[in-house]
Parts: sequence; C-alpha cells; structure tokens
Amino acid sequence: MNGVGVPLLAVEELVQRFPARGGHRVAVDGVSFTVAAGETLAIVGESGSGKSTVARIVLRLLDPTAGRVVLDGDDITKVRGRALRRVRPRMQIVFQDPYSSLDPRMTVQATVAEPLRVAGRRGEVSTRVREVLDLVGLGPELCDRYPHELSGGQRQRVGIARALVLSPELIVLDEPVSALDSSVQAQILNLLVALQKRLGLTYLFISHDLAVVRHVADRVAVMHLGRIVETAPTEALFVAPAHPYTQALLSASPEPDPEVERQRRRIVLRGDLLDATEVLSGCRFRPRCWKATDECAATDPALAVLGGGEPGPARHQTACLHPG
Amino acid sequence: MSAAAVFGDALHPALQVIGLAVDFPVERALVRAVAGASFSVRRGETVALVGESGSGKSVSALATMGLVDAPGRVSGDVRIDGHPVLGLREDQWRSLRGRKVAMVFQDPMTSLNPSHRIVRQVAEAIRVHDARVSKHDARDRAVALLERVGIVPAAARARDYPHQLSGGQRQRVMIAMAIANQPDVLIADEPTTALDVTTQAQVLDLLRDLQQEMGLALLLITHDLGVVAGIADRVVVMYAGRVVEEGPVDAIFTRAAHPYTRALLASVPRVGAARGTLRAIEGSPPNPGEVVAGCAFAPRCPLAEERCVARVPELRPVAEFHRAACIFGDQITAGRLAP
Repeated sequence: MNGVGVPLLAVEELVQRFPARGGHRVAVDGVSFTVAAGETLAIVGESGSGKSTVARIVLRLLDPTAGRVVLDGDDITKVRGRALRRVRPRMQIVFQDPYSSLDPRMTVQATVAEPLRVAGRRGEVSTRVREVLDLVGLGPELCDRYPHELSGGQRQRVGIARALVLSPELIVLDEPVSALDSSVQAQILNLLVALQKRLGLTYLFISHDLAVVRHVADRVAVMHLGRIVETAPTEALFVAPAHPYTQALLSASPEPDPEVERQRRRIVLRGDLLDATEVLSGCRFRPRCWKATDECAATDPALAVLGGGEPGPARHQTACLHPG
Repeated sequence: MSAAAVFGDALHPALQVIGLAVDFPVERALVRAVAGASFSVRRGETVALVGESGSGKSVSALATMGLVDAPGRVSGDVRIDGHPVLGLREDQWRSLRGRKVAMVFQDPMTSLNPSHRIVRQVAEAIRVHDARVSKHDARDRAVALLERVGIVPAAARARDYPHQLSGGQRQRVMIAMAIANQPDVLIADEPTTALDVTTQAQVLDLLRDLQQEMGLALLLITHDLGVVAGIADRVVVMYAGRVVEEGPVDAIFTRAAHPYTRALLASVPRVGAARGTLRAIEGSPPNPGEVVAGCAFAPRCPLAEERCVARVPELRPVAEFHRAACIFGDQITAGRLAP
C-alpha cells in the first residue's frame, strides 16, 4: 500500500512554537511524513515528544508556525470558513478517554448524530446512526442510553461510531485504548483493524505504547522532543531498531513473560526528558545517550536512509550518527 | 524488642489479609467492592495484586492502610506483623502508618505539598514518628534519603519544589517519604502508571533494589502484566471483588488455572510478538453494584456451564502454592481443558 500515487495525507516541515517564559518552546521542530490511503502510520513518543501537537495540526485544530498539511493533494494548512467546513468531514478523531470525551447529558443517539446535524444532513440521521452503531458492534437498543449507563468499551465504541458517521477518509486515533481496561483493549484494537479493512480507512495512530503499535501499524515514526528520530515499516523497526532512543524505548517496554524479563538486559537511560530540553546544539538525545561522542555535540543529525539511498515511506530512516 | 514481637516476626507474614470485605452504601443499597479477599505478603517478598478497574485491588490496599473512610464499611481481618489492625482508632493508625506500613500512590502531585521544598516534606515524614529527632538531623537524613532514591545531587536538589521536578523524580520523593521510617510493608498502588516507559523502568528498578536492601514486604498493585512479570515473586489476581487465582509468578504466566487469567494474558499486546489478531475477551467486567450469580467471570467464560452460575467457586489448590477459584482449575492446569 506504500508510496503509490499521491498519499492521502502529507505533512511537510511542520514547526510549532508556543510562547513560554523568556521566549518560546518548540513543540514540533521540522516534522514531515506521508500516509497512504488505507494505511496506518503510528506516531510513537513519550510525553513532551510533540506527537499530540502534530495530531492537532493535522486536524486543523491548531495553526502551525510553519510547514504544510496536504490532504489528498490539497494544501489545507490555511483553509478557513466554507472551505474548512468541506474538509472537516474527511478527517475525524477518536479520543483517548471515552469518559471525558462524551457529553454526559447526551444519549448515544444524539452523540452519534451530532456531526450529521452540524453538517446539515438531518434527513439521514435515523438510518445512518443505526448503520454506524452496527458497524462498531452496538445494538439499536443502546440508542437511548446515557454515557454513565455504558461500560468503558461501549463508550469507546460510541466514540468510534461518532467518528465514522460522516464517512471520513482519515481518522486520527489519539491513544484510543490507553484509558481502557486490559481485557477490553484487545476488543477495540481488533475492531479498529476490522473497520479499516472493511471501509478502507486511513489511520494516524498516536500512542506511547509500543506493544499496541506493533499490532496495528503498517509503519511507525518515533518522535523525541519535537522531531522524528526514526521511521520504518513496523517489523523493521521492532526487529532492528536503529536509533538509541528507539532501542531504549523497546528495552524499557515490559513484556508479560517472567522468563523474558529475567533475561532482559535493559538499557537504562540517564536522567529524563528535562535534561534534554536544554540542549542547544547537536543531537538532543545526547545527554541521555550511551553512544554520544564529541561529533554528536557538533552535528545535529537529519533523518537519513539506513545504508544510504533515496528516502521514501517504505525505507528505514534514522537521525543518528551512530545508528544500529 | 519484646519476645512477642520477635515471635511475630518469625511466625507471621508481614501483611496478612483474611476474608476482607468492603462495602459502600450507594442510594440505600450496599455496593460490595471487595467480597472476601485473602492474601499475604512475607518479608523480602514482592506480591503483585493484579486486576482491572473495579476489581477491588485498590480498595483492598486502602483498607489495609486503614484509609477507607466512612460510610465505607470494612470487615474481615488484616494483620500487620501478626497484630490485627482493623478497628484501630485513628491515633493508633497514625503511629502505625509510615512506621510499619507505608504507601506510594499513582499520582505523586496530589500527595506532595506544592508549596514546600521536597527536603522539608521528607524531614517532616521522619519527625512525625520521632519528635526527638532534631530538625537539623531530620534534614540531614532527608537529604541522604533523597540521594538514596536517586535525586542527585541531593544537596542541591533538596531545595526544589515539587513543580520543579519531573514526574519520575516526584515519584522518587514519594518513595523516599514512604521508606523514611523503615516500614516492614510497602504498598505501591500503580506507582508507574502515570510515567513514561523509560522513567517507569527506572522507578521499578529503584523499588526492586529497596525491597531487597530493606527486606520489605512489597505489595504492588497494578493492571500491567508486563510490570508484574518483571518484579513479582507471587501474583494475586482479582476479578469483581474476589481473588480468582494466586500463585508463583512463573506458574501464573505459564500455567494459569483460571480462565480469566488465561484470557487476560492472551489479550495483552506484546512488544515481542508480530502483528496478528489479539484474542479479545468478549463483554466487560460487571459494573460496581451489579450482582452476578455464582462465578463473576461466567458470563464471559467459554467454559461456563450451569454449575458455575449456581454458586461462587472457592479458591482451591491446583498445584503447590498455586490456587484458583474455578471448578475446572485442575483440568485446565492438567492441559485437559483449554479456555
């Protein structure tokens, strides 16, 4: 599915600065990626990586300081008014917490129907709501229920139904299972994968959880302090992570297997993210990196294809002077 | 040390919970959050109490610390170093908490005072139990404790306020306060859930080291089976207010006898496993207050039959030190039944 024709979503050199004490804070610093139609790109990172800011820019909820967002060949970075209202239905979001993202005073029916009403498609409400509830595995008997009468899994299904109701092409999934109980997470992940196959959806999957990402993503981009430090097809990234930060993330992700945990040689990073935010030159991961050399202080590495060659979405790329 | 205390140390687990029940009155009815849970933690042992939200794991921990407030009702028996503690007066609890049993919570920001320097908060935790310690000495000990938990350089960082620290560092300060009076039992309720994965690994390493160094009885409450696999000696699995399985960590992960434990393990995405359909558990756990006849997992269980609904299955041995509350437990461990 990679790289044929125009990607559904292309993000080019995004920069997002926020005002902060004594100047500004750079939340996103030159991020570019593409997502082909029908594909899932996961953006992985810890808190402060900028992954959620990228999601908000893509959805046009935030105006970037610089860079472009291109949907299906059209630059949507600056669209407003009527043009923006035409773009909105093509991209939807599913939030992390189905407890806080649903209006407690609205029934399931009203919640799922709201985007149709806003779009002026009232006539379709009754049939379309039932259709999407069926797609997410909820029966019509739930239409009159309120969020507090639903389980966590049911609530997240309502959130997905609401995102589907306008037949979008792109769905941004912002930590869609992080707030769910472990026994319910797998249900929702399997549902998302099945819906993608059935409806040809394109997913931008934002997550901090590498195990979840491995199960849903075609490609992965790892973000660290506002930059993509590594990107690759999912299996390549998990089997042979090249950036020390990716290696540290993988080695720190606990595996539910006591034998694996006992054998594990964990990479324990020095300090935390705070130590890296003050780096002004060279690689920003350097203060926490066990491979850092003088060269890393002098050069700020750019994404490059491992082993050389032309960059492309299917290539394994990393921003490190000492990869592997 | 009195003879009784010495005997107590030798004979009793540091923490023993027997038939614990916790009820909360809600709109003229009683919601049973914990329905007769029993487990124990010995000195030098790490026990993971595992469950989803509503399983009763956190309420059990609060009850063990005497922290379930009225109108919640606690019954059963909780013993710390062999001494029954349920029904103690608040002033008696205050002398016990911190000195015998201490707790670390998920979110350190709500437990730390934002307007006091961290060294003062650790020093106060020391002086609460021993007013004879001078302020100066308490401060020195506090700095040493901060150093021990990895706030370095402690002499300089001690004067920081909580907001100047990262989430991981704040959790380290909470741990310093918890171990300040050398408790026998440390209860950690989802101590790393709010942390990033690289920070989580550091904090778990710290807890593991302290547990071994101080011979703590560590009760770790978590929903994360990956964390459990890396740190626990024994595992206690709770579902809908009851203990459904308990055993050594390897037995639980490789020879689980309860269909719920098996299903949970099969549904967890693994970093080391290639893409594939996850084995989801259909349905969801019962809502708080929802009364399920018999085994609470029966509505979601592929093996369930009429007997399961007739009455609540008891915890029964399926192997040495390994018990499960399922009438098929023996057959599942023997490999004759695969849920």
